[in-house]
Amino acid sequence: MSITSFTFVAFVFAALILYYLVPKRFQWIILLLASLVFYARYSEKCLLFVLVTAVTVWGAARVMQGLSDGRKAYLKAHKAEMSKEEKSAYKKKIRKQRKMVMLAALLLNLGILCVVKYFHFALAQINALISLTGGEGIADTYRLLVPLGISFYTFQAVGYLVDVYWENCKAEKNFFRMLLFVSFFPQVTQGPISDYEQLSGELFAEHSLSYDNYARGFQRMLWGFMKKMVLANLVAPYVQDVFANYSTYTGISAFIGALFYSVQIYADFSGYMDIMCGLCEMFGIHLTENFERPYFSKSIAEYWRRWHISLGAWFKRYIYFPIAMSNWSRQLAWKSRERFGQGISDVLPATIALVVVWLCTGLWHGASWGYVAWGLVNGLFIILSLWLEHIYAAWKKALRINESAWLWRAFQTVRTFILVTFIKVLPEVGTLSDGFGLWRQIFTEHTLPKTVDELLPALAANGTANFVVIMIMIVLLFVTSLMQRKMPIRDYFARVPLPGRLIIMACGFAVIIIFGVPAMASGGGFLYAQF
Amino acid sequence: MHSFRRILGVSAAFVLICLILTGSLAWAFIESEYAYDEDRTLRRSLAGQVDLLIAGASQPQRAIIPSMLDESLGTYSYNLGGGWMNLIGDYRLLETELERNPVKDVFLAVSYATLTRTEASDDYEGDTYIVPRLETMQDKADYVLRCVDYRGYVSLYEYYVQQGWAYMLSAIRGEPVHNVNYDYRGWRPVTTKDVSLAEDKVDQMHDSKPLDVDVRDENVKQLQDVLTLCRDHGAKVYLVVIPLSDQRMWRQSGWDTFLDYMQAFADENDVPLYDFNLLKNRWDLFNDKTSYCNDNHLSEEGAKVFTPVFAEIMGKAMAGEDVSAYFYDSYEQVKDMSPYAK
Amino acid sequence: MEELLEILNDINPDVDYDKEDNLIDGRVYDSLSIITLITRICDTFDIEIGPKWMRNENFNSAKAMWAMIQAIEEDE
Repeated sequence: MSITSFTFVAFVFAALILYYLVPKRFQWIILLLASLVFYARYSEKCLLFVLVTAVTVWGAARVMQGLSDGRKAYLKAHKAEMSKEEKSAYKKKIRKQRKMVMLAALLLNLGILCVVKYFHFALAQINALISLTGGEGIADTYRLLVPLGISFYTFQAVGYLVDVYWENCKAEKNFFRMLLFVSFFPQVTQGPISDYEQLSGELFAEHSLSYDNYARGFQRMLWGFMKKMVLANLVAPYVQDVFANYSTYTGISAFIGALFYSVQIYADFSGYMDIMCGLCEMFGIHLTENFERPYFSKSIAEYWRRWHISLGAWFKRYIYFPIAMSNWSRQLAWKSRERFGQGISDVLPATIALVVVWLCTGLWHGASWGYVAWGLVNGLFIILSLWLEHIYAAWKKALRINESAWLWRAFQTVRTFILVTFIKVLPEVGTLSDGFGLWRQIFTEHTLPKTVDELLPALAANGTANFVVIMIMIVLLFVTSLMQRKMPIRDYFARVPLPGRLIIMACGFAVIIIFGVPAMASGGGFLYAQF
Repeated sequence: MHSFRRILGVSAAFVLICLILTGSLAWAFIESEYAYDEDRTLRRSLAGQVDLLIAGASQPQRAIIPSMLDESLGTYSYNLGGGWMNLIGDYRLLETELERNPVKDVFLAVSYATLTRTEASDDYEGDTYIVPRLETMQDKADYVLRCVDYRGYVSLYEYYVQQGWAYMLSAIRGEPVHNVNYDYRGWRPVTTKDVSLAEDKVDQMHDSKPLDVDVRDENVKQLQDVLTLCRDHGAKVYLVVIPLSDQRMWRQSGWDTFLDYMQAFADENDVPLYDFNLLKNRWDLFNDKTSYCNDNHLSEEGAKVFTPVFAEIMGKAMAGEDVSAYFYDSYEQVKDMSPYAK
Repeated sequence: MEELLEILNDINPDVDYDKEDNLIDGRVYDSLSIITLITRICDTFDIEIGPKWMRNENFNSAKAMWAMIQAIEEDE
């Protein structure tokens, strides 16, 4: 069932009615049934993958919990008779057992993810190596099932597993609650990736029907539909045209196309988030935010704290900190302090961790060298900013730059947006060399467009009316982003009298029908659902 | 309870405002002559004059020019053809025209899709074009409620709202909003396009896709209802097949199966069938470069060549002459003679 | 506590550690500073700060950090 369809909206309202009709302690069961129906509509076979993840993660967590509960009880009972060494040895033994259980479940689930996502990529690399030796490659006639949202729900489940291992949270006893956590339908396609403590608090609490939640949630859903169905889909043909034909574009036109891609991916992904967060709010459930006006960031590092926040938080918690604070990393820092001084030893563990994080982030986004390059380029900028922090500070001091001046902040914002745009398009144009080809075109093709058609080659095919709508939506998005710095937009909106609010929303609905629906053929499904 | 009542009230108000806003746009379009085939007003103006009707989907709509037909046959004809027209649509339009005109003859165009198509396979597109052509709001509502599957309601609604917006925008910009051509009497001319197959594709494309030959009983019944309707109004029906491009016949297989079941229907229901794909001199008349706008529709140029030939043969058929000598017996014979076979 | 304050002032001397209680949530300490801080705490107090202690509330103030260090020492 497509999310941008009346069927989905009807499904949500049907679930909502049932949700508030049943006794509150059964509300989560309605969510579970809705999630299973939603996923089964996509593919019943793929639902098995979700079940395997839920079963293995739940089972492994229960076993680990049992071991740690047993350890506590044993130590308590034998506190007096055990020596410090005996206690330490016993704790080590239990820790090892828990680790084995965790690793087994981790390897299984990450293994499934890797096979499903990276099989074809891996085979292509093997074939490339074989062809270097003059041999005949392996024919890739395999068709693998790709479960919807596997990257998202696997990470969410794995996060829970590791949290139980770290004893950050207790294992969930009820399998069906675990199944809901893994398969929760607003999240399963494109996140946000939540941690168990936060999400379970929302999912399993009892929620009363609230007009405010309903109204605000619906407003947010409608805005999300506008961003995805109108803006993202209308801009898509411009982006597709430049990516397919960049070598025929002038530098400026190619750059505009790249900027449009930044608009498209943000409208598409944040539009999805608005739809899902909005509908969850109608159920009284609050999901973590995944975006915080990312294009207003002043550095790449800040951008990645504001874009796809939950993924960044996941990598920070489960990859970055464990690597940066591991024993060998600390030993490396200690040794390098002796040799290179405090400054370098402070940044070395973080640097190694960042390389791993960004390599993984690139691969998570896609099985191609383009995405690997994308990830490493992002990482490079963040690492450079760590290493050169003192040099930047010295330059700014020498040039007497006032960091709180609005001009400097505007420069930082525009600079970051342009940098981020360039990095974003690298894996999206086609192959990695196509990505570099687009960069080359932007920088080396200096012909100035003489007509509007030369400036925007896709305009003729897509119509002036659609272009005007794109521009209006971009301005609206920009203005609402600025306004949000002071107060949530829906608080501003709440000040408009009810009849006015309803008319504005009805106009939004009409805009979706008039411009969004026909554009769906060009926009296609959600961009991030492929991950 | 207070929250519930408030939610219900506000939601109902929102839905109502949406329906009024979008419904106004839709209604404005449906009642207009904005689309070229919104010919309700035109047909009403010709009531009492028409003695020959051409019915069917987009193939006859583009292929038969009423004014040229009338020159040859001495009739006053109207082309009821329309995009994605289904048999129920044919019935409804014919019913209206047969009631108010002294119609003697009906050329009912049938194609490879007539007895096999479904609403869902057409994505309800035919329904969107039919509704504005029906006479009264009651006729439209009746058609939507009785003849359109509920899954098509969203498609119709979205289409009419979009068209309503386009209509309003044209009106504001001062662009033409009455786009029905009164001189063409239902004919739709379309620009020619070269649809010939590239040489390197000919072998690869030969019989590469089978025709859907799964005849639906529902469609057969609907066609019989159309025949009965015409006969009850004293009109004689002739089933005709409009010529397709050579490349379309070359690419698909199963044409003789289509011919067999169509001929079987014609024989069982005592109605003559004339398949103009089988015209012996078709290659003197049409070619894939200059006669078609796509692989299954004649273009304006093709229509101007086809209509006089069609009129001549049908005139003889209407006079009771045996016209079988003009046609091959099978699609196999035609495909053997195809330019792509050489 | 003095040794902890020495570490904190070495990393970021511009903070009033008696009053500040939003070091992590308020982004006074970024992720690099956190790593440096944890590394130095582990070296100075000869403890292991396992993942179960890696929660914002344990690092938001000097007081919270000191309580955490003492809890780890007792646990070990």
